[in-house]
Amino acid sequence: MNAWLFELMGWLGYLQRPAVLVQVLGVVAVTLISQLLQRRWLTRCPKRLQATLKLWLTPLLIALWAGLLNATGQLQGLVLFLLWWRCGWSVLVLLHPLLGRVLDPDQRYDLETRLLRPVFLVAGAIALINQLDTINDVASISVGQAFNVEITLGKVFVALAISYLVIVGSGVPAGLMARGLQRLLGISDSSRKAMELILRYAVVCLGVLAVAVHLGINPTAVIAIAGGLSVGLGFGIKEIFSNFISGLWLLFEGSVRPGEVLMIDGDPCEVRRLGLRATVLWRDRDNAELLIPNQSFFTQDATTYTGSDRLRRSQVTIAAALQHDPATVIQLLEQTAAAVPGVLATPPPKALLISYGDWAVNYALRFWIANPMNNISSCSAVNQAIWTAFQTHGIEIPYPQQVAYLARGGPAAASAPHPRGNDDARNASTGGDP
Amino acid sequence: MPMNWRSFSIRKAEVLAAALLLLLSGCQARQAAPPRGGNGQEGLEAVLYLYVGVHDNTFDLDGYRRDFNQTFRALEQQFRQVNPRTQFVVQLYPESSLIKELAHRNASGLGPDLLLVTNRTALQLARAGLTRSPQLTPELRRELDPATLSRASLHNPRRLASLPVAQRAQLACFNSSRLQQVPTTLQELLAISANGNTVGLALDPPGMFWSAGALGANEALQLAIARRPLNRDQQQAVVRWTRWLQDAATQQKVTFYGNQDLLLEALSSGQLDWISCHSTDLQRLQRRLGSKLGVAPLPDGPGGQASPINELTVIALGVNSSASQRQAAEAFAHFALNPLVQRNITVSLREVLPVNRFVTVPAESSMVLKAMLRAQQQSRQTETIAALIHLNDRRVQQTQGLITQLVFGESTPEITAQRLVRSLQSQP
Repeated sequence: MNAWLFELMGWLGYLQRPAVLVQVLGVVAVTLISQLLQRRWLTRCPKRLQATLKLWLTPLLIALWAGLLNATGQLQGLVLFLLWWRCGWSVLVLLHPLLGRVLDPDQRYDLETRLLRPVFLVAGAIALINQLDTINDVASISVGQAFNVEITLGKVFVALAISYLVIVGSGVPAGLMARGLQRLLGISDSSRKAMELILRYAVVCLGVLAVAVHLGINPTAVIAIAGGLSVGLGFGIKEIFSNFISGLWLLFEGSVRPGEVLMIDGDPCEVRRLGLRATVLWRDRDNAELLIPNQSFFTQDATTYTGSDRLRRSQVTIAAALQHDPATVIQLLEQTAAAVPGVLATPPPKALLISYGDWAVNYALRFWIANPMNNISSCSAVNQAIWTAFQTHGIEIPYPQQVAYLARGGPAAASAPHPRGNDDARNASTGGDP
Repeated sequence: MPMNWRSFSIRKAEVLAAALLLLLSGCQARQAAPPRGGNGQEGLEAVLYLYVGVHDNTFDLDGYRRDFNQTFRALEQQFRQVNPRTQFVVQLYPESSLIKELAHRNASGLGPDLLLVTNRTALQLARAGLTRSPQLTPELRRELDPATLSRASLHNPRRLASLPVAQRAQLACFNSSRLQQVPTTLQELLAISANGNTVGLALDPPGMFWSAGALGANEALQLAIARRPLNRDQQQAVVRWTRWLQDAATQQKVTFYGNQDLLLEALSSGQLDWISCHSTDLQRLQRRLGSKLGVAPLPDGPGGQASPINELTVIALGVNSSASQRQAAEAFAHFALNPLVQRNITVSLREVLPVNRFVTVPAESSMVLKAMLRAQQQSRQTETIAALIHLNDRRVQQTQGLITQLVFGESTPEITAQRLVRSLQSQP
């Protein structure tokens, strides 16, 4: 600890040199001036010029400062270094729209925030350290011991860098490998996603192993520690561990994979990600993301529409007036459903007479759709089509109605049968909303 | 009026950063150092950056770094008895890249205040204008050997390039558990290899030049380097040397290695029983071989004494120092020449010899010191060569190429000798 603090403090000693102080203060001053100009003056410029100046005003002022130092015979190497670094940052910002042309926004965001910018900043920090010191000397500073192995700053940095790159950078290679295997084996998209995740876990495990080897940690010691730790895991973080193992199990079993559609609380939800602890599902109804612990899929029943295929059988119910011939109605319903976009031709739509109601005959129309998440919208489209078809063909959707007769000859007369006509019935209607 | 906290924080942070920078520049040394020395003196206040030159492929670099830090911290501690407010930041650089590195860092003002390097490197740095000449008081000048000072000086125009602080000796290192008898002559060296002991020789000219003196070729080679003609006898002496090198190469148990660090690695791993080594390698060899490490002077031969090139370790001064750093750096360089410090370093380390003429080495107290003194005596005949030729000299590479061809049997000793002399006589 003391060694690297001493090293760090040692670098400040350069500021005792007027030549270094002039360079550093100059760069700080021109950066402040640049910020001031951007706030006070830049807002009056046209938008296009604003964007350019925002990017290049500071580097331009730093370059002018370097030129001034050079012209007056002063040292300017440090200013030039900072200028290169600042220009590099501007170039990185310039890459933003270019990346947008080849990547979708999420991928660009991930690439920029997780890889390009961190790598640039770390590389810049290393280059700065190399200006003030030697990387080898800094890397050899001891920070302590682990498993009887001396841990140096260099080892710690490399271990962190490998771990970070493995975790962040394993996605693309794992994805490519999974796609290659999908082509070879002809597996489904959800299986590919599961395989991608498994490959990623495998790469991360190998990365962790590589870090341990790099640090020079004795594998026997690691195994011994892992043995002890597993007991601790069993008691202390049982739930997390259980969720992790459940996640792996679900992946291998293939029952819950990214892209699957599950019924959660009566709503169809699509599995988005299978994480280490929880599964992320997307609910179409309100665009909500649900985080459900992996363990839940082991202890609770789940309904899936994507177990063996992705088809869903949907159903709408409809009432038609009693006087219409059921055969005609059934044929019309089937034809109507078949014509609705999104309703599959095979299996064909099927209409059924379900029951005779008090004022209508109840039919059910069953049809198949390819995307189980579209059930509500498909049902809505079919219902609309039925209304139009009934209107066209003069088939009535009756109001709820009840016929009351006044008994003139006592209960016997009241119980005698009377023909039921629409007009009579409607005139005598006592209930039901229009 | 409500304050705009966002703009406040950004602007103030920038101003505070600048203020902090100024504050730190003023206060850093005060924070880093204890307020007062044990003797109550304030002393010189400065952070000194010391660059240490190392070989490109230094054997056991981590060990070297550790040893150096340990040694240097002891010296620093002594210096801080007088100047408690002086701090040192030590950085190690390969000597071959030091010119490039220094040119780059000097341009930023981040160059060193002090450099601890070989004399050859210091001369190159001074020629390139990357270091400045140290001041030498009349007392110090009297304490140093004129020949040593001459080696550390540039001749045209004449000025001191650096201050010599120690001399490392080229010796013979061996595995005492495997060698029954230490070879004292070249014949004995080949005899032990014939008896089954493995011998390692260096192919790089500074590492193998010691055998030239033992075969009487030293004078001829010095003349050639000085670009002067050789007579028939002198040419024959060079042929005798190249012939011995080829004879040695044909021995089954003699192996030539590309550089000194490979020899050290081979001895410490048990592949070799005898090698030529430098006194500054002893600590790392000792760590690997323990009590099995034996040290002796290099073997003489029929043509005379061995002719090791004993490198001078010097302190050069950087050009970027502030006034206080310059003062402290000079003070440290002079301090390192103090007879008491020189003696302490010699006796405690047993790795280098003093350059101060008034320091006597207690040779009887240690076999290593005795061998080093003998190496110092042997090296007197090579001082001219050491001053004339430097590592980056084109002729050094040419010589190594010619010797490599010779030991692999691709050239005869006569032709090699002829080409060698021609090469050494050419423009450096």
